[in-house]
Amino acid sequence: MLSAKIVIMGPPASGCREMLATLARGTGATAGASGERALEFRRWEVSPDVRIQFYGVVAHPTLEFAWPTICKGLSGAVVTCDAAAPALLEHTRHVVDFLTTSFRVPVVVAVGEADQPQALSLVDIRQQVQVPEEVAVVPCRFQNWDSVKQALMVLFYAIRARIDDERGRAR
Amino acid sequence: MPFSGDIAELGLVEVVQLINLTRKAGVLAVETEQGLAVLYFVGGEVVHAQDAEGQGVQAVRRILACPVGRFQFEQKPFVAPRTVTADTLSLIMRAQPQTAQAPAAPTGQPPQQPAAESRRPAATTMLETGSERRVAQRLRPEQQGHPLLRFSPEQVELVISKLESL
Repeated sequence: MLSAKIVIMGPPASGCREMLATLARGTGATAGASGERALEFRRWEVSPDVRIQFYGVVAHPTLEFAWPTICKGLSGAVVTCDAAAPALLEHTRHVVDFLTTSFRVPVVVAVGEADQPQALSLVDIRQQVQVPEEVAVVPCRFQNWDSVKQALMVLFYAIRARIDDERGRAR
Repeated sequence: MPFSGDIAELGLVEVVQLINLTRKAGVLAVETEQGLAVLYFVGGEVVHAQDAEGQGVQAVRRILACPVGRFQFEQKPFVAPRTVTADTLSLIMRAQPQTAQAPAAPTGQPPQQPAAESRRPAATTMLETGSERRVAQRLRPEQQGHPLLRFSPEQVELVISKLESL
């Protein structure tokens, strides 16, 4: 049985919890055995042999000491970002920096509220959040399953590409 | 690394849960309208709790019920009696319904020296936190393996095709 861990993480009020709730509705993922308040867990039984554990982490600065432990063993991550809340971008940059420098796994930045009049463009967000070149930045409506699904598929495509790279290197 | 915050913003259940998850050792001081209370952790488990009304599991429950106030957690060595042997996760899970009816006590002293007459007799075990620090250090990300190789390409394909079909 493969049990892979995907972390969905972003500053408070950046859409992290909404994305996890939509994901749970779309996949039928159930709450994990330790479904508690500070973190949210959802378990998606893809097949009898493959299980995906989604960890929703509101990246509260007070709890930064716990981020390495929460993310330990992750296979990929989605960082939620609010295009209409420039005040959160510095915090988002910190989360992206933490994930990309601490773990050698694919990361996707999912940008919500991108259709708001005052929203920053994806290009501006990439620049201000200092998103590394290899990390995809995609628009995402966190309450819409099709949109959340697209963001997840970008992540899993990136995971597939990285696995191919790793295996090629191992040979 | 000490961390602190406002209970209204981040509940004590969540704070204790995260200390438990990260297996920290140290002292969580809670300042509320009712006074000062302290929880002691070793390896993320509450081993001693003290508020003005007493110590042990009942004190844990009263402390977790505090709706307002401030907290500060500090990783530091301490010596304390073991008054809590219950599993911390169980205490967290039971915290809300039980503490809802348990008003916190008036101002008391921090338990640097535990009260001589506690309602629940303290175990004689004295706790030392140095070894627990080494456990916490094992959790640094640079010491972790590469989880991607757990996936086979076929398993990733399965996840992608399943997602596409939903």
